[in-house]
Amino acid sequence: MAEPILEARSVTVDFAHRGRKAGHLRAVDHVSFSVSAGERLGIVGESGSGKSTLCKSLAGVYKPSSGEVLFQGESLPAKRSPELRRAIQIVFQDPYTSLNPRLRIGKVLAEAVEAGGRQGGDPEQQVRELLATVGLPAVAASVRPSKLSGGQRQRVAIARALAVEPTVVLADEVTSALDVSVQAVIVNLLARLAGEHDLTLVFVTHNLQVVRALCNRICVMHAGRIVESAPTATLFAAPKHPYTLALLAAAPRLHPREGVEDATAKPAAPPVAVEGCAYRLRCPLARARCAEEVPPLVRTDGETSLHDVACHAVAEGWEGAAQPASSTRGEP
Amino acid sequence: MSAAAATADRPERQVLLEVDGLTIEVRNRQMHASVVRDVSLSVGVGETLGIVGESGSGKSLTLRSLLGVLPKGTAVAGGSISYRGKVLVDDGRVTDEMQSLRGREIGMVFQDATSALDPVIRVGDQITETLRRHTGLSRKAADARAIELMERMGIPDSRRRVRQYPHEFSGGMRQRVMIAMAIACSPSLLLCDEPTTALDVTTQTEILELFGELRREQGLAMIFVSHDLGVIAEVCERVCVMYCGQIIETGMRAQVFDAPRHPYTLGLIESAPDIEAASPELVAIPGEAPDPTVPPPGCRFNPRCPMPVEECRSGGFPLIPLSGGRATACIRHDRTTALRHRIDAEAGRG
Repeated sequence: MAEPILEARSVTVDFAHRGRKAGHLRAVDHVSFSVSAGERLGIVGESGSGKSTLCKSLAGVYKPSSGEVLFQGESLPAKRSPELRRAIQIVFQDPYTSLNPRLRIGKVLAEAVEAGGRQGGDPEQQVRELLATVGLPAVAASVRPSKLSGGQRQRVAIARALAVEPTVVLADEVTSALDVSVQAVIVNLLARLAGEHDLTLVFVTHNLQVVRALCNRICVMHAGRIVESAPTATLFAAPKHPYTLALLAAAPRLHPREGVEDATAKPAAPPVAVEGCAYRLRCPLARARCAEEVPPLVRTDGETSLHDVACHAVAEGWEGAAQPASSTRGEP
Repeated sequence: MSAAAATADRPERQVLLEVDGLTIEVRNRQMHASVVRDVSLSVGVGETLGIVGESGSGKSLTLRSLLGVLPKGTAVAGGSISYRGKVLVDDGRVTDEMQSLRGREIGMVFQDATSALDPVIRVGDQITETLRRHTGLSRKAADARAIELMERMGIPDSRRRVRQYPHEFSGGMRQRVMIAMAIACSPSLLLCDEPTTALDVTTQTEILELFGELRREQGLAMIFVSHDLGVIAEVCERVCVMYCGQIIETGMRAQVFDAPRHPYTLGLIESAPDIEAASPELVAIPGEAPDPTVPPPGCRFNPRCPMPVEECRSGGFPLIPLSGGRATACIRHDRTTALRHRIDAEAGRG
């Protein structure tokens, strides 16, 4: 395994409750993982799972309340140097608010090029190259964001991230605001660029289709913790955590399965702080132990499987997850 | 057309809503152009129809026109709409019938419950507002009905929650409140505009199941608009695919999604394969969706089509009836299967 390029060690992010007497909201709860160079890691979860907060704390938007983020083996300081900020870029969900509506696209990218201190030729030429890289015509430089569609704006946001020649690109729900056909375009563009520019990609989304198409490895988050982490193929073929099973079962299918009762999901519980495993209120496998201690993320199926699960039931040998997302379409 | 063919298949089918040649225009100082053109569809008692399309396809405008709630600056400009024989729109002119049906016979569920609900009115009062308006029910009886509806929607502790305000509900629960509102008067037809788009997948599943129950238990007919083919597949028996203001394919859901007869429908399926597909690759449709106010000449999909011929570049493209009550606007529909094999092979789904 290659050296980790980006690593989270027990990252915790707390937000103070405004207007309440005491207490705080723990959005990210002791999350640890590492990403190696060239890897494309997907972080999947529903709203409130802490996936976006985690992504933003990797980007330095939020400062972890405890724990640390390491880049190339070195702990990132609270105030990052310009070099570090260039090396780790983030692309946001909403291309309607992440671009300044008053600036022409050429200016948006020229600013990024200048900030990046990129060598080689005049800035205008570089802006044209960036636009070409993300598949936009050179004339796009002279328009303002309002003239562009959602997909085109997201291309500009990606071009802006690439302008500073980053090592890691964090993508926070970048396709969620887009139509499915445009989503496919952006996902394929990211995959191509990651290959061409040797990028390490951390892709945060709620969409399982998208991570399946784009990422080598997936972390599933629930209530601020990673509950399962596995190579993409493993996660889809043999998911183990009951929450992952519920997510996979809930993904709408073009050919709905008739009469398949989804045994693993109970109605979503309100997000309240609970002792022990946060999923136990919805979990069909919940047992006494789940209320007492938080299940740690542990390797299953041998060290080389790279398949980690945080579930007491799985640790005790529950294997009921036989064929959750298996094909019922009768396709080869 | 397709409606007639479907009627022929099932002679007992009672038509509830019939739309014929509907055209919707944008009218403002800069322009006067159609955004929905010549849309015809029909829904029978207890049927579920899905309208699939991307932003700008005109799917939401079509749905809103059925209830006379088009956004400012847009108006019905042609065609007719009738509901159980009552004419709601006659040759582009909206009649007075709409007001009496709205809420009572036809309910509507919007995408964003947060903005569709009034933040300063208790949910119980919002649920029964239409009921009291149409039936003059007493306040006490209305409250009892609101509690009953909320229980039916699976909202726990409804006796207490009926007195709460929308902000005290989660997104999924708010959506349940809105559905309770829409069905308060026991309508026969429910119009749903992307009702699960803002929800998490697990919550979405619960809401879709609720729609299924309502349909089975109350024989509710539904028109369900979404950009998500998977969601449409879970709920609808019949689908219309819209592109650039027109219906380009229609038929039974299983047929259309199994063997699309229009390259755009195929493109939608290939750009978002479901999570059980053999290969996860997303195959993008090249180019950008055109602005429906300035559509390309000929078939509106031809600039992005992987198999266009000269004839595609001019003329009109009405729906061509196929067997099984299906219809497509593509003149080369017999080649879509071969096209699909090619795309699937390239994507490793062979």
